[in-house]
Amino acid sequence: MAAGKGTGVVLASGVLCAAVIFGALRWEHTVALPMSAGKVVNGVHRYTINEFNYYYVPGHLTWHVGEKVQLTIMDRSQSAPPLPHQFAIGRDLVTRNNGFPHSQALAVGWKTNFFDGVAITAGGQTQPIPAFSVSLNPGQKFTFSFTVPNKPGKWHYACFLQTGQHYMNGMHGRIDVLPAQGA
Amino acid sequence: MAVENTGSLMDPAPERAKRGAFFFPMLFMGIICAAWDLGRFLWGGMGVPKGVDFKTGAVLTVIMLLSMGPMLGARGKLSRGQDKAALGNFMLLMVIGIVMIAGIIFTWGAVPIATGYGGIYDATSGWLGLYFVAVTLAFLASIMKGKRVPARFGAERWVAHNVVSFWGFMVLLWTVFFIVFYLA
Amino acid sequence: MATTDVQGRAAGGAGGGGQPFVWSMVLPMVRAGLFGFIGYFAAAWITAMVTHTVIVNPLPATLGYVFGLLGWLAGSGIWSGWIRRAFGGEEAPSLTGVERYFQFSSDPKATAVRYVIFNVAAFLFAGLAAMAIRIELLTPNSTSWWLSEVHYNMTFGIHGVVMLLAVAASVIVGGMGYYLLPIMLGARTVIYPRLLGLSWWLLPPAAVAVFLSPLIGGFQTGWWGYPPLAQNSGSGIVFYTLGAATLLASSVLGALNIIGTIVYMRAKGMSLGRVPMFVWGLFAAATILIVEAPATFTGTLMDLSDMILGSHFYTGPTGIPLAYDDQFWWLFHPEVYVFALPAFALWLEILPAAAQRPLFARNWAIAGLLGVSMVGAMLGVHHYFTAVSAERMPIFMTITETVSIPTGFVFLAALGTLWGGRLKLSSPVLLSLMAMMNFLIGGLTGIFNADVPADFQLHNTYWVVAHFHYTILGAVIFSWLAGLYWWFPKVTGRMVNEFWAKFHAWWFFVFFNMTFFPMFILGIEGMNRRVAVYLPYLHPLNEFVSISAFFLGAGFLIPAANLYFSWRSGKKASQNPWGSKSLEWHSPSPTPYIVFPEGSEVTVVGPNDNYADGAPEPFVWAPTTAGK
Repeated sequence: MAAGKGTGVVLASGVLCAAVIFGALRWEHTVALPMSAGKVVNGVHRYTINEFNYYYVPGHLTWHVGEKVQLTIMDRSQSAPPLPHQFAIGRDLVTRNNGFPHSQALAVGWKTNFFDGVAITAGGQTQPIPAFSVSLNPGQKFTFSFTVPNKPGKWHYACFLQTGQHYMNGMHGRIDVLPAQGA
Repeated sequence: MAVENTGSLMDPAPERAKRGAFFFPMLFMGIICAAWDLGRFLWGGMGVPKGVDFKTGAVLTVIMLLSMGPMLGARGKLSRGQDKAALGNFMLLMVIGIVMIAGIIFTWGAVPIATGYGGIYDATSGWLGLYFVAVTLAFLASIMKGKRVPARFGAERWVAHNVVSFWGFMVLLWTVFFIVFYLA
Repeated sequence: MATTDVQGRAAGGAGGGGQPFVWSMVLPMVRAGLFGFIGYFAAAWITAMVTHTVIVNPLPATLGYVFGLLGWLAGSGIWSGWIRRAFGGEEAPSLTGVERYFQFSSDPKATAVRYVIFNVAAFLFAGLAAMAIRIELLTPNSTSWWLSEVHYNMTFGIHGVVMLLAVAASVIVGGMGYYLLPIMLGARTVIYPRLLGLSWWLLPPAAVAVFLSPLIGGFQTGWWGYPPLAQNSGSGIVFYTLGAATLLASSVLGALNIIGTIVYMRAKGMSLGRVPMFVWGLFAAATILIVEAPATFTGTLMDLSDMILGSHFYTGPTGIPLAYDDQFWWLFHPEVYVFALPAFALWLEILPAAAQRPLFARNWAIAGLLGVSMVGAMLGVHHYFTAVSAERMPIFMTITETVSIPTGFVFLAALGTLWGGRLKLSSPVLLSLMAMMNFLIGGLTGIFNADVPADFQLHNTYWVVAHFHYTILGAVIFSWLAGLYWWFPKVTGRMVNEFWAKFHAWWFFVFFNMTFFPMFILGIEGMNRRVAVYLPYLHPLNEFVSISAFFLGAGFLIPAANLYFSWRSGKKASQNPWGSKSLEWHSPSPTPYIVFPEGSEVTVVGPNDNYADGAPEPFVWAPTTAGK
């Protein structure tokens, strides 16, 4: 009899446990981190990229050439004090020797910036911005939009603050730029 | 498989041992408070900053010192075996405990946590507040036990004795706290 | 009374009632785990919603942990076994059968057995972390196929915290100490058995939280948690500070019981001079915990407060980072004596029985144990000579080197006992001797660390790693195994397979030394600790160390299998297989639920380690005097 009651409690709490975990994670992903897999509003693909120490959520995006994209970058650094973070898209790392010949060199930037020659709309103005990247203080967010240029392939976004320590700690993500849809 | 009535055989420590050994938990808790109190001079410097709510602190200290009366009363009644009468004192001390918790939270408004003095003040008084929560719950438990199962209350009178000792210890801790944080 | 009825059954069954194990007995533990997860996720979710953050942030993680811990405790059986009756509610019957191993129980023997199981599990996982570290160090380069630097940092941090606070701190004190403490003193239980029961239930959530810390961002600080790096690493540092505080609280609950039991519950005639050596070792360890733990305990909480409440104890305008180092090492240096003193005492318990000779210089050995605990209480500063003022250096160098004197008393007592004796070299004895050998190397190399000029060269190199592992793995863990084998028949009623025990003792000794001795050389040659990447000239030696470490790690499967199969089907043990005079062997093996039967009581007439020819039996049993 006692065993039967114990089983009931365990089963009930098992169900409750699953519900709480499922609910909390789902809330985290849909409400707290509204990253969206590219919600399309008026033909614009909207993405929110959250910056944490030391990773991005989401860490992977897929764009098509010619799409209109609106990016919102948000620094949600969870440390105390919180840290500034950077968002730069490019390929091929600019590296600096850290003194250990065989170690991973310090990565301090991109050789090729994805936004070279791309007109960027932010704050009501549209113009190409040389060496464009977004640096945010904790809690800030920044929204900009652009049309995906004809540069298909694998691109990466990363934060190179503190002489590349953020990058080394894993603060990078990947963007697959695919040829235009229907092309 | 469950067996009744093994408690007294498996747990034969005499009342003297149960009460005497309670010194060690109190010693440990006291050293923690001593660490916080010393930290006050490291982070808060020697002076008392302006804006500290001296009045509330003094009132709480007077309340604590006055509570020695019901505490000693409860102790005497327990020693004489007058459990029912002791429960009245317990009730009074429990109410004082709740007042102390509220008072501690009230004083937090006066000192910002981000300053050196404020941080150590809030941490220390918050820790004392946890002790007050513990002792208040212990009084509640004793009162409920005394009302529901007086026989067991009497058989385990060392529990009630230790709760009362703990209150006396809290009077000491709070007085030291007041001296260190408001007067020194 | 029903007690005689219990006696009759207790004496017969293995460790208590004769009811066989059924799976439904495990349900309370499952329930505790589920309540814990419910508490964690519900509290973290609500906090994140209220404060508009994500659940991986420090504040939701902290509240989640607190409520997860409370949920776990609520599910463990503490409600029916303790809280409900404390508030005058229904009194649950005492658990005397197998089910007491799977829920909150006030029986110290069940608590101790659970400690052993928990320690083995924690050792396995933290050991796997060590293997991961050695795989990374197989090559001097950073690896793309294994851990990144950031994961490497998390891995050695987890390895350190779990090995120290969830394994070393409780292997001998918890698994052996809590079992033997009352029995060796002639008592049936400890002074506050429910507090002791609670101490075990604090361990698993803390260890699990530390292990799962990478899920909320991990922590980069190693097991130190130094600010300001702590505040700048991932949110996992919250699980580190809370886990460390919980594990410390668990140790202290045990320490309170040890001291209270020794002071108040010794058998008739057991003067302090007749207290068994192992109990003296526990006493020395417990005093360290009670006196020293507060500074470190508050340090972890203040570190946490800086992260979630916005205070500035260690960071920011009023922050004093060095204060954290002082508080941290205030206990965590003496903590190694909490590990080691019971191990020393364990040698002094095993060796006289094995050599059948009286313990040499007994009072000096006691003075040695207490001396280490007293002198060792004030020297944590030697961990950061590189960060303190010149005035503090000679003081703490002198105090540190003074510790070798009382340690020497213990060693000389052990050697004097062996001198000229005819040692029966069973596996526990062999492991004890190996532990002494390893500790000798660990202790002698420690003198170099304590010496300021040498320390400036050796600080934070593999020299320190080697020294430390010699004392803790080489001495404490070897002694743990010695104790497990020595008291295995007491707990299970069966003998450990002696061939496999000796085989793996040698396996360990060889591969342990092959793993850690080269680390001294690595340290002198300039290999920093806590690096995933090192200079190529250190490669060959590191490769050798890694391969030895894999053999050492794999070797731990031998005792695991040996203990399991010996427990299931080992040779039945006699009541006193080692010919020991100690009191615990006066009760049947396996120990019945009620260790000493009602109706007779023991009088102590001498120390339990006097094996001189013609020495009187130290314990005399007589019927309980009427009226008691």
